[in-house]
Amino acid sequence: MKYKDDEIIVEGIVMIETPYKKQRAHNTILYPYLNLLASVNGGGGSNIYHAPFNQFILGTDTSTPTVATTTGLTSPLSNTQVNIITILGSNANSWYVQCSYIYTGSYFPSPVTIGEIAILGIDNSSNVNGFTRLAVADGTFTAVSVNSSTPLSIQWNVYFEFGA
Amino acid sequence: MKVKVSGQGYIEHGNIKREFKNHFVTGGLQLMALLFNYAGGTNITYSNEYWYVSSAGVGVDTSTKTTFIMTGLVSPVSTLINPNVTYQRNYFIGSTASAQITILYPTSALPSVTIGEIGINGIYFLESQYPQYNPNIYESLNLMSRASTADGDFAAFAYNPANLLQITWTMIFSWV
Repeated sequence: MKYKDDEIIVEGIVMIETPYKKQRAHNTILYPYLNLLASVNGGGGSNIYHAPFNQFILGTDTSTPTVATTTGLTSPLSNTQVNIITILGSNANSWYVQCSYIYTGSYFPSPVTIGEIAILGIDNSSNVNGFTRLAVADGTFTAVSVNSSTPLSIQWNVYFEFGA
Repeated sequence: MKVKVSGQGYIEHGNIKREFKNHFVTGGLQLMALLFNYAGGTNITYSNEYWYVSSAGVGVDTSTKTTFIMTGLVSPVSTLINPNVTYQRNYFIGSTASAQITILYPTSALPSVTIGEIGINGIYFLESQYPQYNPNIYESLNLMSRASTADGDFAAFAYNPANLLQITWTMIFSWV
């Protein structure tokens, strides 16, 4: 395969798994992350505070598509905002960050339908914002129903690779 | 949606004015991935990290094409200098965020050579490790991108110590 070295593609792929269903989906990258990427602040210039991918949050919205100004979830479940585990890795022509977390059933004391998921980080204005969003309303995955006996596993890989 | 990162450059030296393309190398990919891997602890407030387009260099090689695994220029002629950076962004879909990096060599900064390659370097570090910016202490210094005569990016040109040399490199981040 021939790669285009004049561009880098940043892409997220998400695996969502319950005991009953496994899905693979592509996320939407949000503008706080786009702007953070562009913060190639020069040496000796003013510092920009930010943080990497380090939290997941789940939400229930199933009807609001992601748009240019989206910075997070539409209907977040605050008790599902959790610190995640990340692993840095590389392949022949890419580097990636693997973000993962397993929600136990205790996060879902009442049955609930998950329609949106986000990775959170600190943007270049020092605010916690969504960096990526996966939404049923975008047509990129199917809503997941969970309850107190249903664990939910999420593995979110963000790839940095040459253009194909 | 994905994000595409691309670059375009411009050389200005006396009467010489040339645009050039760039070629990213794996060090550029690594820098971006490093930034978003949470390297220490679990407290979001303590994870301040930085990446900079920190320095640039020029070289005299005119025959070696860029490869993914390059970590530096083939025949560098200058010590690294810190570029001046201007930063632009636009929030709306269909638009882009971009960062323009300007590298200015004063007169007599280089010997009289023929320049055939240009490299842009980046660094990454954790604030908790290096709270005071110090270009001599860093977590990772990578060649991010190279442009060269051998790749057909620009025609080699003779450096005249009497003239300023300004290299402008714009990184463009857009949704695709």
